Amino acid sequence: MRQPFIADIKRNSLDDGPGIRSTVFFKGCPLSCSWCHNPDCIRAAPELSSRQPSCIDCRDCLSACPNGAIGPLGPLSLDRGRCRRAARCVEQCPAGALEIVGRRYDLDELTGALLRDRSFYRNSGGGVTLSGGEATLYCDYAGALARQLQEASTHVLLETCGHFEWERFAAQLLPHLDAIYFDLKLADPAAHERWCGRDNRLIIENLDRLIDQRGTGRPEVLVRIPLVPNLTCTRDNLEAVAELLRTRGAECVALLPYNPMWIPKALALGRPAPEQPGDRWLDADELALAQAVFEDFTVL
Amino acid sequence: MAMRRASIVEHIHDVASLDHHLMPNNIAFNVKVAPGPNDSQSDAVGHMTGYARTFFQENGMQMQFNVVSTETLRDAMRNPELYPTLMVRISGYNAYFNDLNDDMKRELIERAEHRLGA
Repeated sequence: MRQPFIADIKRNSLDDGPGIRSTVFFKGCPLSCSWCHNPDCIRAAPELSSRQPSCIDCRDCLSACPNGAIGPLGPLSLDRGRCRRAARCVEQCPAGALEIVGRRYDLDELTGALLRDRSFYRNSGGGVTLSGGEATLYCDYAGALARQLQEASTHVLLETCGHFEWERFAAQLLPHLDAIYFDLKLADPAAHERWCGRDNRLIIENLDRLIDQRGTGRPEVLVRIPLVPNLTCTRDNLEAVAELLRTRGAECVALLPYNPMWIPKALALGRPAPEQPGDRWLDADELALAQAVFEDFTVL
Repeated sequence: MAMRRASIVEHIHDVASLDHHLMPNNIAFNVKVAPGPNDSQSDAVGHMTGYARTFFQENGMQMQFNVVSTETLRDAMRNPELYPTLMVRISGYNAYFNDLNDDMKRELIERAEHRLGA
């Protein structure tokens, strides 16, 4: 069983499903959307995150590194090719500006950590959300985790980009899910490949398969659409996505307004913030446009 | 090592685990929660119910909610005439925010704020 690296366990999650939840962020994603709000979850391997606003320029990291990965400018001159995640720099940094994102958990250890808050889940109609990154890269591990959680009377919700191999998903993970949040971004396959790294063919096939399961006691599926200025939140794209959903009988959607708070995370990982999308929030007109296009849906 | 701010669920576990027999003069657990602009009332009430019910199931003794944002309190401190009826929970009693002295106002403003949803 391939053990994933987990970027974070976020307790008291109120926006990743019903009730009070804990959200597990798996590292690794088959997509690389240019607006990704969890850029530290795109790559599967652990990586060093260095928050420049916290850095005090003491250069303790430089002398601590056993692999010569940090140059004269401190973390600004980090050579990620040389970084072996020894984490001596993390230990030495007096400003707490450095962190290795991603660690492994034994299955029982992770279940135990998530069940600390089981009373909150029970008292609020909450549970555990599998997110990231993309948990379906690790169907055997995620499925075993979901099964243990369900055996402990815990609701399990999967957030997914929809790009996964169906057979393995259906055999290992789907049977242990209570609900699925299925993100749909761009209707046009070429645009999807341009902005997300792959086209949307497999994603739409999987959506169809999941919708076919409706009414068989399978998990409820809610489609969510990230509203990214100029990229997904355009009349053309939204109308195409709405029509795609109408032909499949979907009645509810969630609309996710873009925010730029992921940009400092990307910078801390040494990635330049791309020009599109920008660093502004979705504005009221754009939100109104999206709501108008989805007028005949129940927007959650 | 990076410091991570604890969430309200961790505070609830921690305070509930204290032995109240060792605190004969009472315990005040003050929590400020701030509903976000997109929260439905039933969501907000549901979350607060979850926090309170879990706290008492874990043998917590007393818990006080202030449901107001830090932003509102700061504005009320600058412009009291705009908030004549703003009430806050102190420690076992309510008070009009405008009647408090500056130190108490600042203490309420500085109490950790937990957002109820985005």
